[in-house]
Formats: sequence, structure tokens, C-alpha cells
Amino acid sequence: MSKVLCETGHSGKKVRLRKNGILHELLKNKTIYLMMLPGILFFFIFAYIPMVGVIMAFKDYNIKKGIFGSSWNGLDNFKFFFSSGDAFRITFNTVYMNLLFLIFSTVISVALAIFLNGVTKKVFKKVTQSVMFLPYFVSWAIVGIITQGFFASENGAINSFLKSINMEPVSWNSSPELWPFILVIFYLWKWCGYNVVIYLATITGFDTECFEAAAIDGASKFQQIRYITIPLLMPTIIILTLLQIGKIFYGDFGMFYSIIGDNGILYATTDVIDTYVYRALRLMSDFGMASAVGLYQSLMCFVMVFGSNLLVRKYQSDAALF
Amino acid sequence: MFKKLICLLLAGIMFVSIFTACGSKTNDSTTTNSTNESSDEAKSGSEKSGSEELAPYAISAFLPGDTPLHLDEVLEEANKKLKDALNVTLSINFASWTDFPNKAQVMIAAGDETDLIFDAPWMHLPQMISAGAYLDLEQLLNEHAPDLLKAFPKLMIDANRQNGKIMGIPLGDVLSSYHGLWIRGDLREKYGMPPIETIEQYEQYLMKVKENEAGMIPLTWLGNYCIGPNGFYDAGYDVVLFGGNNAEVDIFATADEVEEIVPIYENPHVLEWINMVRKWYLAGLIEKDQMTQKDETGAFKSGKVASIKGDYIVGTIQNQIESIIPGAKVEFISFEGKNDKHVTNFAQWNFICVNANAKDPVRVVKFLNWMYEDQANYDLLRYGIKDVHWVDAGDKMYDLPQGIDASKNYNFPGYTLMWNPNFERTLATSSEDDKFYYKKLRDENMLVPSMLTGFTPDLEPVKNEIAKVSAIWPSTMLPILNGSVDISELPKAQKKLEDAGYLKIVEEAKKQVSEFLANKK
Repeated sequence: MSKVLCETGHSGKKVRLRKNGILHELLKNKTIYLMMLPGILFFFIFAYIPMVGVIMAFKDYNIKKGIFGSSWNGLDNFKFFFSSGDAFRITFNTVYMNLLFLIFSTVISVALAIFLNGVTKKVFKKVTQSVMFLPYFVSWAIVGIITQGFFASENGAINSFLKSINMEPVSWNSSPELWPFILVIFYLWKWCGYNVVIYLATITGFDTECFEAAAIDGASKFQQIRYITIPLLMPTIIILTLLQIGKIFYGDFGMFYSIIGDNGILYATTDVIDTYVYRALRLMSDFGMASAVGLYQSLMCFVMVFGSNLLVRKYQSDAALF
Repeated sequence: MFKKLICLLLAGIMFVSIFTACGSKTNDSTTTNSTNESSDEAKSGSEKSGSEELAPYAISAFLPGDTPLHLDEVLEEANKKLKDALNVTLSINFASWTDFPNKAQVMIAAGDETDLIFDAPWMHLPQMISAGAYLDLEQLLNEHAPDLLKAFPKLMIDANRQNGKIMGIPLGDVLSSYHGLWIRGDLREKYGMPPIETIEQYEQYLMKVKENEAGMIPLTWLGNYCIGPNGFYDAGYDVVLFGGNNAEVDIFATADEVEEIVPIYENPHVLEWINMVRKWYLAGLIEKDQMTQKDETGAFKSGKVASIKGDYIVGTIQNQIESIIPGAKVEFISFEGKNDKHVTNFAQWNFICVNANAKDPVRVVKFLNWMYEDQANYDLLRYGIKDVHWVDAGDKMYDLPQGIDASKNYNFPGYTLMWNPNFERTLATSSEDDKFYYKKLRDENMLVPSMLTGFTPDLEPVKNEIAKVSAIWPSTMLPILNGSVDISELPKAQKKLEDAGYLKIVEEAKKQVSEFLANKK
């Protein structure tokens, strides 16, 4: 249905757009624009209007006086974050963890999608896909409890197993160096299925003629993947990666807080901006300072998205987001 | 055409769905107003019958917790009395504990006129006071609440002033907090040990548990704090944690002395504790993963742990544990002599505050006074209708009427509105120990005011430092305080704390305490 409408819209655009300008365009495709309206309104109300609150970062916020009535205090709210020696460490942790997530999840999701696409047995394919997708619905709070079950020093599943095969149990909860990897594993377990669905959908959409032609020319399965599937998949990979890079300064609070919780011994490697701010301000409930760190995060994200998009546009202009 | 119609319909549905989503939100925020409306109705209703000189007034209260069962019945009964006495009607709104802090904050920020609002120093009382949310009650109480002032010991009111002002009525069924631990009395008896009164005996108990109960953890506590000042190193002292739980400067006070204020890593009491707790940790007396513990009570109830931090009232936990482990017995122990006088600063945890936007503060204060005018008034709101929800067991005790299931009875959370040491009754079926502690902690002669009674830390000047220190506390100081990390790490932790500005908090503590003591003289 929408395909039909789009096509008529396109043909109309080409012919008369220049003559009648934007108004005609709006009128011509009014139904489509009407369908956009709820989305635009949603973002306007919940993403653009709240941006006014950014000024709280520069104010000594007082509930009674409100956002606009509170007095300005310059960059005072930023001091707490940057004058603590931890700003670098937690920013590094956040970016490092997110990079690990990004690289591993992209590589593994693409590999799994290609693998699943090659599977001909339909039942096996569907079951595997569902099983992979299932963890997406498990909340981090529950994952947190499961991790405790695995990694508890006394009576934890892994340590019990190690003991049963006469190996020295590991005290997981006091070994910060192990946790980036444990977190990556849980991240993959939870998100891979979701990404695989997206990649698989893209692969299914490829023109089968390419593959048939390649097969006739004697290309092996691996050559087909190397020279057809992956290049065709590139735009999707780039878009998803760009979206992920945009969030690189956001630690997944639900994940880190549910799994690490208040275990300070592990903070050396797992403390991210979000958990740090949460902890620092839980007691203080100082809105100004919280917004200051929020603004810092948003600014860094903005720079990242803009920068990476610039790079993409330079090397493969079709794949750039904007 | 047909496709177009479907498209329009779809767009329409999406459009509407946005606004229904918003709509449900506005509904949510008006729930608070609905009581005002209903009380408005009550107002007009009472106008007809009102023959008193006072104009009718509807008092509204906003409290945390679940709405008690049978609240409507009790309020109806109470409103009859209130109408005769003050020509007011009372309505109470509850919000769950998790929602309450935010809701109260938003209501206050939005200028809501709800008269009585619960708040607490551990919630956001200091912030709300500095935002001007509550009324200073000093004058109002003096003029309109003679019974209330009689009901609350002067010490209790004075010790709970906020920066010298009465910003809320301190709610407490006893005059002082009292720290200690729960142990399993049945296990203690099994090992043939006498009742535990000293730390040495307690250590013995933990060791016996370790030896005899396979798979049982002797002692644990929540991962996000140190149990030391909750019964161990504070025994015999009033310990003020200046800077809060995660940026603390421990101030040790007795009745006639405030010990020198030093950073926590130089405090002799704390150092002694650190050495002991590390020894216990290495000996396996403390849970290996204590820092990840999130539910100590659950672990204790299910018999996985032999001792946790505890409250002197063991009635509830005793019933719960017995239903899981037959024959289990919970004992409260404290390392202060049971019959010794207890040093305290008389600080209370919970307050009921009068909203600065309340339309008629005088009448609100009069209502507060009404609760303490007569034991019957207090009893009505606190315990419900006499002989229906509770029966008088004499000697300031109450009991449930026969055949009534406690879980289906009226059960008002007294600590959110009225708790008072002189009016509160004791449950007749509570244990001898419970009764003993109730009596002791309500008896001013058994309590010794600490030098720091009435001292309220003002954290505003060091809020930057506190934010920084509390962010690193759990990874530096806390593992040492809890024994998970060796004391040899202390210099490293000290360096980090000092870099984050911890010494500034210490200086501020010193300054405020010396100012407080100077003003006292």
C-alpha cells in the first residue's frame, strides 16, 4: 500500500516540485506527511522542548525558584566532575567498554546472520533465531541476579564446578580485571539476537541474481560472502555502527548497575559515567550537577556522531547518515 | 481511495495515541488534587451543619506507604470527632515508598496546597527546608498546640530542630535509636553459650557457627555500607557521620566530651574495627562476597546467615523466621550493657511537616494538637476503632481482637504521622525483651544526652567534595572498612580520598562542631 503511494509521490515530485515548491509537496503527499506528524510531535515534545532544561547545568537550581528563577552560577556545576581525578578514568571506562561491545557485537552478529542465511533447514533456522532473540526480553535486573548465581565466591555455579574438577576457585567479585570480558559476554548474549534479525532481514532482501551469477562463474560459498554479501551489507553495518557510536559516551546504566551494583572493588574497570554520577548525586540530589554531567555526555556524543559521519562521508558517501 | 482512507485512519490512531499517553500522565498528576476535590465536597457538606464559629476546613495529608486497609471507616469516625472539635475534615493520600520522594518533591515544586507532608533527613528534608517548602512551627506550636508540646518531651523537640528551627514534628515511638545485631538464639544455646554481651563472646559465636554449620555464613551486611557504626565501634558513644554514609567523618561524642575530629583513616576506633573485621574476614566469619550483598534480611530469614544487623524489636522477624525454620529463635544483642544508660543525641528519623502553601496553618497545627489532646484521639487514628480493630490490654498495651487476622486488620504506619513515645502503646503479645527496650528507650532517666545533641550538619559548603568523595568511597575506603581488602591498602585509599577533597570535609566538620559547642556554652 505504502509502496504504491510512495511511487506516485515520487513521480509527482520530479515533475512539479520546482514549480510549486514546498507547499505543493505538502499538499500532494498530505497523507504521508500526516503520518509523520505524530512522530515529529513526539520528538518535539519529549526531545526538543526539554532541551531548555540544559540551562540548569549553569544554575544553582532551587526547586522553589524553578528553572528560570534560579540564580546563575557559571561553570561551578562542572567543577565537581572535572576536578575529581576520576573524570578521565570513567570516561575511558565508558568509551572502552562501549568499543568492546560495538566491535564484538557487530562482528559476531554479522557472522551469525550470514551463517543463519546459509542454513537451508527452515526449522533449525527459526528455532535458532528465536533462541537467540529471547534474551532481548530479559531485563537487566534479572540478568544481575543470574550473574550473582554464576559468579558468587561461595556456592556460585562456576566456582562449584571448578571445585568439582579439583581446580582452585576464583574470587570473581574481587577481580576487577575479569569483568570487562564477563560484561561483553552478557552484552552479546542479550543483544546479538536482536542485531542478527536486522542483518538477516537485510541479507534476505539482496537480489538473488548476484549470487546465482557468481555461482555460475564458479565462486565458492566463501568468495560469495567475501565479495557479495559483506559489501552489500556494508551500508547497514555502517548505519548501525554510527548509531552505536552516538551512544558511546552513555554507559548502559541498567546493565552496569544491575550486574556490578554497589561492589566498589570492581569499579576500577567497570565504573562508567552514568553509574558514577548516579552514585555521586544519589545522596546530594543536586539537579544542577547532574545536568552538567548530562550536558557533557551529550556534547561528547554530538561530537562523536558528527565526526564519524564526516569520516564515513569522505570514504563512502552513500552510507553516511546525513 | 480505500487505501487512502486506511492511511488516514492509521495516522489518526497514531496521533490520538500520543495524546492518550500524555492524557494518562495528566490523570496521574491530578490524583493529588482529587482529594482536594473530595474534601471540597466534604467542606460544602459540613458548611450546612457547621454551627461553630470556625469556618469549615479540609485538611489533607500526603504520606508514604500503602493505603492502610479500612482507612475509610476509621477516617469517617475520626472526621465526626474532628468536625465537632475543630470543624475540620481529614483526608490522607498515600504513595508507595519508591514513588513518594519524587512525588512529594514535584508537588512542592508545583505549589500544591496539601497541608501535611511527610519528610525525613534521609529523604530530602534539608533540601526542602532550604527550598522553603515547610513552615517554621515554633510560634504556631506555642500558640495553638499546648497538648502536643506536653506530649513530646522537650528534649525530643529541641534535639530535632533543623538549624535551630522546628521544621517538623519528630515522630518516634521511643526517644532514641539503639544499635545492635541479631543472632540465632537457638544456635547459641546449641553451643552451650551464655547470652552474648561482649564482642569476644560474639566472635566465639561466629566461630562456632563456622565450625558447626556447613554452608552457613556467620555474618554479613548490605554491600553499600559499613556495619561498624551500627553496633560495633559506636557502642557507648554517640557517633555522628558528618558527610553522610559515603563521605563520612566519624565524630565520637559522649555526655561530656567530643573526641578530637580526625580523618576516618586516623580514627583509633575505626582503625581498631578495621583490624578486627579483616581478621574476621580472613577467618571466614564474614561472607566472601559481602560487598555484593543486597538482601541480608532475606538471607537471615532463610537460615543462610547466622547474624545480621538488627533492631531491638524482634517480634516480626521472629514470626517470619519461625515459619521458615521451625525452632529458630532471634535474639537481639548489643555490646552496650543492657542496664547501662545509653548515650544518644535524641535524633529522630521521621518528621511530619506543614506545607508552606497550606491555606490555614493554624487549623493544621490545631489538628496536630488534637491527636495528643486525648489518648482516645491518638488511638483512633493509630490503631483504629476500639474493639473493632484493637482492644485495650491495660497498662499502655493493646492487642488484636479475637479472631482477627493481623494482615487484614487496620494497620496505620504511625511513624509517618503521629508516633509519640508517651501515647504509643505496646503490643501485649510482644516478647519480654521487646518490652524491656521500649521501656528503657522511653525513659529519660536511662538516656544520657550526648554533647552533640541538637547538632545538625550543614553540608552545603562542602557539597562538591562530598559528591566527589562519595563517588570513590565504595572503591577505596569501603572495602577496607568491610574487611574485603587488606589494611595495607589504606595509604592508597587515603591518597585518593585526599585528592577528592576529603580533608575539606574534615575541616568543615571541625569548624561546625566547635561553633556548635561554643554556642552551647
